[in-house]
Amino acid sequence: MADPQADVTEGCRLPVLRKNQENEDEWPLAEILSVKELTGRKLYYVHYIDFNKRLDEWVTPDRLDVKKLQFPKKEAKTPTKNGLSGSRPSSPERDPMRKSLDLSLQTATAPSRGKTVPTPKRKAESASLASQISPATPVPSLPGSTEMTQASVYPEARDTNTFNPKLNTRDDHEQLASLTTNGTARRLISSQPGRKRKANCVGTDEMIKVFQYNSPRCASVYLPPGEDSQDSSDGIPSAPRMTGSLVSDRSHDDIVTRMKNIDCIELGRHRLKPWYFSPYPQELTALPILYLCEFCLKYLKSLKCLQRHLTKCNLRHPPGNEIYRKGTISFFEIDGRKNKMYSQNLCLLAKCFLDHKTLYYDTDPFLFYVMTEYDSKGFHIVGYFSKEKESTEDYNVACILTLPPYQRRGYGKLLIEFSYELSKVEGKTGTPEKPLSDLGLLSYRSYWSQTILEILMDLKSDNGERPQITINEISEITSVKKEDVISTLQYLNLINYYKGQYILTLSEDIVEGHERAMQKRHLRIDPKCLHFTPKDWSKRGKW
Amino acid sequence: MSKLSFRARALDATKPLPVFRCEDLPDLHEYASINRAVPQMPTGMEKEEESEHHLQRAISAQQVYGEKRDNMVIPVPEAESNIAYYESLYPGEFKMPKQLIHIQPFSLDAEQPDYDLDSEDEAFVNKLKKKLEITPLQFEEMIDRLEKGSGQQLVTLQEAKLLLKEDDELIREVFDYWTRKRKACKGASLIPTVKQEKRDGSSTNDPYVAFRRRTEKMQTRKNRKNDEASYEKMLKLRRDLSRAVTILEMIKRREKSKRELLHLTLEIVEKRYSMADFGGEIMAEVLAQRALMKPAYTVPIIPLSSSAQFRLQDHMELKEYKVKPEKTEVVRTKRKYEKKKPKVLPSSSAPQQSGPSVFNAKDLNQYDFPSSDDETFPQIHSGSSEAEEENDPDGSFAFRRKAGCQYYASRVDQSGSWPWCSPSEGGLGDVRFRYSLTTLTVPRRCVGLARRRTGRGGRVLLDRAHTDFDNVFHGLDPEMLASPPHSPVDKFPSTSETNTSDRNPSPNLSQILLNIKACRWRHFRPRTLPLHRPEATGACSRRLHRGLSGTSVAQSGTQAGGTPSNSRNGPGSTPVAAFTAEQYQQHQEQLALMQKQQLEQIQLQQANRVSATNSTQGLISKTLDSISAQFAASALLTTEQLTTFKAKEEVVLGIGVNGVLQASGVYKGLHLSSTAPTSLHTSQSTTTAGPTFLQPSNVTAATTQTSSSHGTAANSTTQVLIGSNIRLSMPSPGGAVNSIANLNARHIPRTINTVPPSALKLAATTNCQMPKVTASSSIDLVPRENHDQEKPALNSIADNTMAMEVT
Repeated sequence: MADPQADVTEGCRLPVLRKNQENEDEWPLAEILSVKELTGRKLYYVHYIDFNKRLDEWVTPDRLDVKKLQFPKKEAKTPTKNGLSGSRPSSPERDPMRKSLDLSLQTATAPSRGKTVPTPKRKAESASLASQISPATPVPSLPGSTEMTQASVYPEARDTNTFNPKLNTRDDHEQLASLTTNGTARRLISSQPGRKRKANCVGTDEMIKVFQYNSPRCASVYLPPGEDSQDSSDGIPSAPRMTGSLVSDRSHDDIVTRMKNIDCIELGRHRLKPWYFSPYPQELTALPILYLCEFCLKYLKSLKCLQRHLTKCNLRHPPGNEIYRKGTISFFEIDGRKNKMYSQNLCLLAKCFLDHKTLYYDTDPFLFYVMTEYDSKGFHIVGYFSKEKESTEDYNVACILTLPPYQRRGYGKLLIEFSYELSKVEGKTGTPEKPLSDLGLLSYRSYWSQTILEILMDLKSDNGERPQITINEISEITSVKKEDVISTLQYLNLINYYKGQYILTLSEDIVEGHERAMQKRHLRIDPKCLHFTPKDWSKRGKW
Repeated sequence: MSKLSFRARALDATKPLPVFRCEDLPDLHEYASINRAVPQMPTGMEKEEESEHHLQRAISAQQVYGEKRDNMVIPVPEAESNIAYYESLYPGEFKMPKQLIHIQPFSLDAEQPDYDLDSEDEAFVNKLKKKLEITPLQFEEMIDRLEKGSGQQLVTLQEAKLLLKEDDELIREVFDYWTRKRKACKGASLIPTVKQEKRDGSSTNDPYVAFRRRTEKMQTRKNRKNDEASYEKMLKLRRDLSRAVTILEMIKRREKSKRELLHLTLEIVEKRYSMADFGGEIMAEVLAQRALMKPAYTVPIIPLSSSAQFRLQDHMELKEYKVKPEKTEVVRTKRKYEKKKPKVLPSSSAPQQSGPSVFNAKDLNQYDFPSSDDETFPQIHSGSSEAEEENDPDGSFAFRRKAGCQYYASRVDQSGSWPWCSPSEGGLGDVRFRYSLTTLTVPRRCVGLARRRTGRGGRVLLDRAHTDFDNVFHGLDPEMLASPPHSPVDKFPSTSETNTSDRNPSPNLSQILLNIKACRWRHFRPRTLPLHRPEATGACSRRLHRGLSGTSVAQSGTQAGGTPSNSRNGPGSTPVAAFTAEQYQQHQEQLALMQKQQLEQIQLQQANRVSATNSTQGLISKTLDSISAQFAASALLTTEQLTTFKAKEEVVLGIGVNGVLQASGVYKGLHLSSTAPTSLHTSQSTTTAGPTFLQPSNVTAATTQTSSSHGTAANSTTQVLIGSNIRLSMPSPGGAVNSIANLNARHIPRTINTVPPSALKLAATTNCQMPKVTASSSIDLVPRENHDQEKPALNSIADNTMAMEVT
């Protein structure tokens, strides 16, 4: 066997050896994204299917299971992950979407697209209704409904309340399914074959967003963005929308940005392995280690340069105003317009750990809140979040990151808590910009759960009656957007329909779990230590 | 289950939800099956990432255990936190300030170089240190400057020496080192920077380009675009609305006038009835009487389809029901002359008006504003030619109200101090305006004593005075009077008032002649173009005016074609094209302003007395230097250009009610495209020789020649083309010379007729101010020319302000 790996080219899929957290060998399916040759030896950049991109890595040929090699399909329009085994769907709604996606895929490739495929619709639905615990029940939709326009969908959606009980559920499912199919179909027609990954993600993502706001009041308002982004993301990639987003819409995904380009970053005491691509100057990407000044975050090509830089840089804290300090934790506010250099350096660093962040546009419309921990050397950056000065969609966070060395220590929740404290001062409710990452989702869900449970547990009943609270009240107290409150209550399974009305029920498990979690949560934001006056950016003309 | 048979209400965010502990509700599980009735919210994650293995594992772990297990967390690439040299890298301590840190954003990093020395540099610097004085920081500063001084091209050594303040040897060493290093460098700069976007847009999809500038302001509202287009729409809306307001205003005025007319007519009818004038005899009588009061001369404007055939009785009735085409044949004046009728000499408008002017109804009508104009002053309408003549001494040059203009009442406080009034009457008693012997150029005869006066719109009027010697004066041979070449009048005692108004009891003709010749008497003769060519000049300048007005440019093409050939026939027989009413309206706009300017001019002129009077004799002793003339001409031209635009725009717009104009940029293309051939033509015509002019200045010589050669070629678009000529030639200096010559050539026929060189020069120095009629002693045969020169200037002022209003 001269070269068993000769056939292994970009786009191929095959099982690749990796160690799991228990240090056991496993052979997940992986896609070859790139091949390079280093000192006569081939290296393969692999993406493990159904694993996050941050685990992508360069592997040696001996880790490839060449026998099970799958060649790239000619029409590689398929999203790399289409809801196969191994993942547990989170909600019934997601499944019809996925399923219908698959269906539309089939029909899209077939010559007679749009032909009605008979599907046992009703049966499937009733199944989904009956079995709430088994979540993977799909609700297939007719591909014919692909042709349904959004306009025809939305009036219905407006009429029927989003939170309909069971009888309307079917309709909701149908709508949602057709909605997503619609978006997906369009994507499939227009997207380029080949290396483009996740061609459908934008459309569906937007649809999710749209659906999220699909309350009677908001439906019509939020329709335009959905259409808008679909149009803009069709076919040839164009510049992302300018609505201040630091979150990538992924329309610019190409093979370069799918691969990590920095090996290692040295920041203060820490060496970080970047998770994702970051547009640091290209000449620096070849370096084994990229050196960052711990305080101004300037990137330097060598330790010598860093040493020289440190003789000139006398910063010992982020170059902004400290608006919060309690103990060793401080928050600094940095204006993306006034302090471009730092903001850009921060974004470049953050991009290494945020997949969906985009650095396409400048940082002007953003404020950056950098959380630091003080020691005798100075205020060390722990994490940060960015925030639009003016948000059209109630976002109170654009990107949020705890640097890897500080992860899993409660700092992420602290950052989230701080972002809601700011919203409280502003007197608004807020929500993080979508899409969330996996870690983001977990962190936010955890924060929301704890925050809401804290309120529910503290509710006192006056004059012997049952304590009660409205969703709006919860939203007002916490500054958590109403939709997030509802989704959390649902996620925690607190909403029950009992004797003609909705009630919130706190199970023993929930209460115990919450109490245990709160014991571990010692890092809290103290609103008294916050010195923050929100600015009305709309009056300034400039951000 | 039977409990599911009813329909549950929607979850209401405003409705209080009772909070239960599960243990309090033992029967809850019976209702549990409808829990999922509330559709779950999306997670906000990307769909395909949501299904990722580790996330799902973590979520399920959370749900099962209520909290995360260590082995169920989402794995991430490792991070180390044990950099051994950290202490040495970040030496020293930083004490936490008591106060919250507050920082001025721009006070950081005052002048530190961005370049950081690397090991290679360090070796070089150490080596260099042995022979030269250099510190690492100094080296960094030098490299920093070199880097920042270089764009695509590297800084040269010469430039480096300018950039750096170190001594030459050090600069050369560092420069050489830098050049070598820079060439070996892969990146765009030795100071690594994030790739910038390229202007050509080629970097749209370059993943390494980051932090692009936002080209438009971030949208803060989803559904309202605050962009340029909507701004323009708002402007247009505003314009249209104000136009509508104006139109309504005018309609109101018209209807008022109609009512007034009706009342008057009724009154007349009643009067006639009471006088029993049933046959119309008394009426006819009255009208005949009025007709007798008409001036002795005949205004050479007779409407072609004159309303002479109107029966007098019919007149009143018909007037109101006149259809529009008829209406336009009637020349309208907006003002009645004052009771003291100035005696405008019939020949004073020669040569242009020497022939009967054919009044072109179309011309007038083109700029005619809706009938509101016509009927605003119905009392001025005349039914008979006599009445018309009386009311319309201006003929085709009658003042016509210009749409959108504001007209001010004459200022009483200023009206008294005319230069031609004697001080006793409150005037200035200017010598040059006293009654003096006056000889007309065409017809060439002495008209006796007359004084000049500046009339409405700057026209020069001659007030004649009766003397006992009138018959003698009339008999004087103009040629005899022409002989004395110089007559500095102001030296003479005869400038006294008594002398000029002449009660001198010497009736002897020869004595008078002698007096005149000896310049003891003021003798005024308009300085004119050479007499042997009056026709060509006149015709040409007229055409220019027509072009300027822009009327015929756009619409009456046939007429424009016809006129040049006509004009070749000579002035006597030429039915000279009428000036458009537009023109005359335009210059009326600025009456008040002009009055002021007149006074200024007069004072200036008095300062220039000597040269001014010299020119009286028809000889220009003072040579106009061509540069200043050119400048003056070009100044005129630019203003003309504006006028042209305006005229054109009004053609396009149809109406210019409130004077808000469209941007003229639209027309640029038009001009440019039409210019090229014509400019060629004009430059050719300048080269043809024919210096028949008396005056010594280059400019004027060129002028006459062009004007003559243009007698045939000029068409009504010339002005427009001249305007754009300037524009065209601006970029290329070579062409500019040519076209400036052109401009002069084209323009001066008008200028030179009336404006003495001194005045021209004045125009050059004051840049835009046009010489007035009163300037110098040259009462001209073509007084109207002056007004037209003023007009562009004034118009341009107006135009400018309008433009500013728009932007």
